[in-house]
Amino acid sequence: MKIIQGIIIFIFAIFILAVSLVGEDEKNNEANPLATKTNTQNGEKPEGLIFNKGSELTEPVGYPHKIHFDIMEDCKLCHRISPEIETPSCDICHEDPYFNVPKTTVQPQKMTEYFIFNKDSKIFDPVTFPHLIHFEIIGDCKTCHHHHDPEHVTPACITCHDATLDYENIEKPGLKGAFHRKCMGCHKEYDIGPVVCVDCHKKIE
Amino acid sequence: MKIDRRDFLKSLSAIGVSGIIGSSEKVFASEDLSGYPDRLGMLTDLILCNGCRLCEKACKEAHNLPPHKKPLEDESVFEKIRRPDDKFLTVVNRYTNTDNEEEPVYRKVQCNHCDEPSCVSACLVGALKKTPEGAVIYNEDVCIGCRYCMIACPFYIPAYEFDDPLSPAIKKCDFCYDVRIKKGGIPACAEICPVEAITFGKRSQLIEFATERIRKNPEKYIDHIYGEHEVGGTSWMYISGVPFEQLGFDMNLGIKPSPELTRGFLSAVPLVMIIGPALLAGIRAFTKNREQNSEKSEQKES
Repeated sequence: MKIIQGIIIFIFAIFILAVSLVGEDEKNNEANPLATKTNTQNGEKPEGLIFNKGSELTEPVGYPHKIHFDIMEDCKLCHRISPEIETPSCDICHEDPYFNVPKTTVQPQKMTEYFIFNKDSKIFDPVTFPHLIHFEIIGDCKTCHHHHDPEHVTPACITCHDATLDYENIEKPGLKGAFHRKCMGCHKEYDIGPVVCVDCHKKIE
Repeated sequence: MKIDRRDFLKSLSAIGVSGIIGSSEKVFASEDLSGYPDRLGMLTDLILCNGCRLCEKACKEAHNLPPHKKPLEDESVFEKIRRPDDKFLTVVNRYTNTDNEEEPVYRKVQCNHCDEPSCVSACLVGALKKTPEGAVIYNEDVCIGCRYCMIACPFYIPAYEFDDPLSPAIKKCDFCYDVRIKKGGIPACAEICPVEAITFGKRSQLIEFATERIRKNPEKYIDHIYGEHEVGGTSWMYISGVPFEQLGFDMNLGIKPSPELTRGFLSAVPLVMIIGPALLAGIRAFTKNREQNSEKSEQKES
């Protein structure tokens, strides 16, 4: 029996190794062309970049990247600090590098994967909200984290929406209302995800 | 001073007419209940309501009523239009949306807490009362069980405990007055509503809020706040994206408070009761004197 166990473990180990190698290959293939250029190990910087290729109104813009580096001598003046990558490409954080639309200042790697809501309810069990999956599908934090100031791009919901209803201030929905309206509104609009109470909230038996 | 019959009748009728006119004006002023400035209210947004019926559940818990027999997810209750009764002080009904059949409209029904409630004016013993906070509340200890309030209500809301032979009482939404409002809380249904379709607040602020919401989304909402003017205004108001007629709302109630329909007549009743006997007694005394005089003169002649 021990021999058979050993063989199974061996096969399993080879399988894991193979999967991880394939995964790395895929990562390299998927990596952003801009990012690979700026993060080359031998310190090579692209001579020039061509922006605004997709515009129908104006012609593409040639950007002399190396000349800028020669003058500024500091990558971080343009490439903001990131813990993972030294000089990240613009489009890692910014949705469209050519029009400089802020996507998020929070790196996707640092985003909370799950949130657990509704811990105190007497009727329903707590609800697990897959935060990262929603980000990956929607791709824009502002869809949910609306009304933000530039300093605080993704404020937590409770920053503005009160957990206890304040009937002196009826203009702003409370936390519960904000959640339900946002979740169900989107799920109904795109006909995806749960809309019935018990699909998210399991009843306490 | 000598008063002849014509002068006596003239003066009596003059007193009577001035009395009726004067007093009826006074009654209108003193019973005008629209004056509580900070009265509270509720605004139900029928676009937001999704028919989860948690308000029914919360209401039952707040008022110690027997819980639902079927689970809340059971949609068979929507098959017929229900009315609030002694076990359900509020009910949610479903209506088909003619514009979009896939998205039905849900309407919560309960006492609308009129600004000038006809149930209060109909109650013989003052068991029903409009509080300064806006709630129309009921006192079981005073009630004699005449059920006039049930007939007077333009929304058919008060219900009677017909199955309780010993101590039956009227049951209707009381705005959670005793259990919550008095303690500074908010009504159970408004608190539990997951989408905050029910907004609780000062009535004046709610009207502003509702007007603003309609103004910002003119394509979504019908330009009408049900309850702002109906039967003289109600504390509970509705805004909707579907014409109110399709949701079982009575649009023919008018904007006149129901008690006003009977007020003119009822205020004349006490005057008739006082002036009538006085007038008749006066006539009787006058004619009796004349009869006696004529009898005396007849006796003298004979």
